[in-house]
Amino acid sequence: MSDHASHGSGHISPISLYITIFLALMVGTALTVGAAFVDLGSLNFPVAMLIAVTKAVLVVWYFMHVKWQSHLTKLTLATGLFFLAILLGMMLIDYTSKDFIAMPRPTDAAGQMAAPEPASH
Amino acid sequence: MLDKLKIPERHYLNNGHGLKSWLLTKDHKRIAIMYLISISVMFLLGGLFAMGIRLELATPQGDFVQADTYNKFFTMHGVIMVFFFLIPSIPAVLGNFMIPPMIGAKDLAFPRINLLSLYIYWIGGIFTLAAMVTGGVDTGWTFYTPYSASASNTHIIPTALGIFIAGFSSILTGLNFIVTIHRMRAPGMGWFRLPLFVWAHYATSLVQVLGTPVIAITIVMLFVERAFGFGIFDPSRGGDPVLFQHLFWFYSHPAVYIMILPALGVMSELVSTFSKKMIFGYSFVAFSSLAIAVFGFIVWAHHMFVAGISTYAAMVFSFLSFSVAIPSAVKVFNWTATLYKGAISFETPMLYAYGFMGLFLIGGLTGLFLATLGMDIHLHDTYFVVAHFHYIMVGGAIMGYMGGLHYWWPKMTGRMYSDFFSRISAILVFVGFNLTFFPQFVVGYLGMPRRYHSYPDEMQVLNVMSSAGASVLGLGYLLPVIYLIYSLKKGEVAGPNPYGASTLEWQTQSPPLTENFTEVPVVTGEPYEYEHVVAKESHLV
Amino acid sequence: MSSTVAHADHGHAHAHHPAQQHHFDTMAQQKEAAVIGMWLFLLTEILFFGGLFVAYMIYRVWYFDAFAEASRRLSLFWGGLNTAVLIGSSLTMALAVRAAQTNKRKATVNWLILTMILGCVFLGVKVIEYEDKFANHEVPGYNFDFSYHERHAAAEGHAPEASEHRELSLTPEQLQNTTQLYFSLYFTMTGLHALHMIIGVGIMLVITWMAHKGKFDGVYYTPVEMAGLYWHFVDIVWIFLFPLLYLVERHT
Repeated sequence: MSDHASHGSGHISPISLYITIFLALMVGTALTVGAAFVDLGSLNFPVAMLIAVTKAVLVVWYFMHVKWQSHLTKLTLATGLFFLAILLGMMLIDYTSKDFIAMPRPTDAAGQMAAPEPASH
Repeated sequence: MLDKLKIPERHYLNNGHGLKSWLLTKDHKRIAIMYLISISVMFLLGGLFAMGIRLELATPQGDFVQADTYNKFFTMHGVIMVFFFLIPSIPAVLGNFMIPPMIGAKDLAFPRINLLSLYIYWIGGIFTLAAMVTGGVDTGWTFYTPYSASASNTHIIPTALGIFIAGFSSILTGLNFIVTIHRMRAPGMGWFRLPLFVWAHYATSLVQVLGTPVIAITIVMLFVERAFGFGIFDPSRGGDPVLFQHLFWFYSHPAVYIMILPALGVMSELVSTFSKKMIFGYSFVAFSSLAIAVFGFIVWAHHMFVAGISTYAAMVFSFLSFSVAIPSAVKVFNWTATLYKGAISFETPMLYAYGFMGLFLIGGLTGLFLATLGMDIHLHDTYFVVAHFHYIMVGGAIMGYMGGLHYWWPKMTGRMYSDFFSRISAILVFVGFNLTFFPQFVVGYLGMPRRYHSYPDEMQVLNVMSSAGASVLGLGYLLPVIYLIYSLKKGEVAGPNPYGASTLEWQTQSPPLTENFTEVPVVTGEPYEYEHVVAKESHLV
Repeated sequence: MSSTVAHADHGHAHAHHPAQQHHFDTMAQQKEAAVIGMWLFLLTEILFFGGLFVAYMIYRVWYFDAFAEASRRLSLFWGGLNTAVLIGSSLTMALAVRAAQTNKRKATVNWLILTMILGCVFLGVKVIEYEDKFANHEVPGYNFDFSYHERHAAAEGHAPEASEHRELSLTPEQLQNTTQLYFSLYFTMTGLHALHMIIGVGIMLVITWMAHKGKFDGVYYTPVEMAGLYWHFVDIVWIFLFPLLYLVERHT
């Protein structure tokens, strides 16, 4: 009745795969909570983000089936992430460079420029 | 020697009668017509506010309306024109109508979502109009904090909500176009056989999908600050008002590319058809649309040079802003090269195209002045900026829209409009536009600030010129309403291809069938091939 | 361009699936279009939440101590539980999609119902958390009082947790101001997330009803898959919200 050319069903994963990913996500959650109680200094944040990104990748790749989707779907996702990176990255260009170059300041009678104001943050 | 042309018996306009058949339609063409009516109403409203502005500015003193009222005039003018006219205009009307036939498809990928985007547009419009009639907003269309977040006592929330809702309409249209262009092309319609109009809309749709959510969240943050007293941008609690500007402009700069890219697409169609020549450097023009879309996302802080961003960031964004002029220039060069040794003619759509080329050029070049950090310090928030963006938005985008509307009117309605009155209108628009906005470059350079309802006496002559020009421009926009509606019943029957164009939509009847094609076309030739097209005699000036 | 008009097979040589819409040629094309369309919508959600995350990042760097202090006011128990619940609901959702793919109507309905239950558990926990915030004057605005929690705990004889962490460089007044930024973002981010979950549960009610009515089969289960994609996305947002909001600085 239905010929394979118009068949709509996608890849079917075994239940065991879903269980495995679920367990991996729970382990990741436990890890991230545990890591929060350890003083890693400035590494605490990157570690937490790394674990979160890994969990997200697992959900996207397996739960959301992206592993078995077309190139276009993968490209779509990559594009979204790229522009999110632009949003964050280019905003930070402003917020991290407040001290790089001093704004031109008024000059006094001797032609000397006034000293820049100290940074407030 | 042609047989007298007749309107075909069966077409999308007579396929089903009554309000329900329109309001519940899934036909992209009917949805396009409903968008056409809606945005025309919005254009009229925005134009009325413009009239209020120019009436006030005809005299140096603030004597026509109070300052607060004037603030509301320019705010509502901006909000309506940007969010409810320019952003939907070409995509929702011409894109909706023409993209499926251009690619050989029967409809867009998601016809019901297309209808939903129309409903959402109406709902958003109702919110904003309701805010308008109950008192309006006075923050400027840019809603800067902290004024908008805490100090202004005008109807910001319903207006912002209306914009938020209309944003969804924009997103859904873009989403629909992207999937349609990827997955609904007819056999043989490869990417590099697509009309450049389609490429332009693909690029526009990318911007719509990726940019609009950011203004949506910005509005949410403004909303929670106004409604609940949260303080995300509140300086007294450590918040940064400039953060609002960053988030606002991250969308609003790409938004101007949403407004101009479709017009650039229309231009490619017009230049090709009315010089009977393949667009010079097709792939360059195609990729330049994509380049504009992508580059448009990395330049936003050029609106914030004097807002308090770091000097380093200002330099970075200034440099990047120069780069976005390059793909635009590529297009202008390529159109010029197309015209060279082409069989050029001067039908009304092409008059708009010629106007576009000159005005877009001026607008684009003055953009470079503003991108220059040192110059922008002096020009920011003056009428120079106002003139610049009106050259692009009105001299560019709206002329592109008018050109496209006139070009595809015979396809959409099966009728031709008055040749005489349409040319008069095009000329009135061109003259009126320049009279309105060129003086604004001068007063801006002389230091007249924008968003002020009074100015020094010595600037009156130029302002009066500008206001006078606005009347001419208004007349130029009013006339088409009359002769286009007149043509619906009394216009000469157009036939399938009155201009001798080469793209697929012209190989069907006018008006088209609901399903666009009786049989699925198979594309074998390259785009813009004119040798095989048999055209009705066109009117050469 | 030149185009020849070909005779596309529009006669009914093979029967169309009842769910195939007329402007598509095949079910596969229709499904692929739906998947890409849904992902484009999720892209908008990524950028939507992304704006909030950017604002959060900037203020967290500026006011780290205040953010850390405020973050400790959130209950790690409830937050952790909610994370587990939501990940569990992602599992049940994935299993619902799989049941639809394998044409198991009852299983599809059951897994969807389970997903909705877990979603409601999540929302219930959020209500508990929000109530606590309201009671402790931790909602930004007029009634905000960051020191209320400590004074209240001291007055009731509980040892305040504040003594366990390191000395802060902020005055109480600075804390009172900048922690409001944290809570403004906390409520906006988790509130928006909760709103998405409520919408998700609503969508699932509709899908469950459709599944119950037998509208899906092994070839056409696209709405279930679309709901799944949406639900997983909501899960991913929480996967980031949890460490960012609850785990700023939990070590002493």
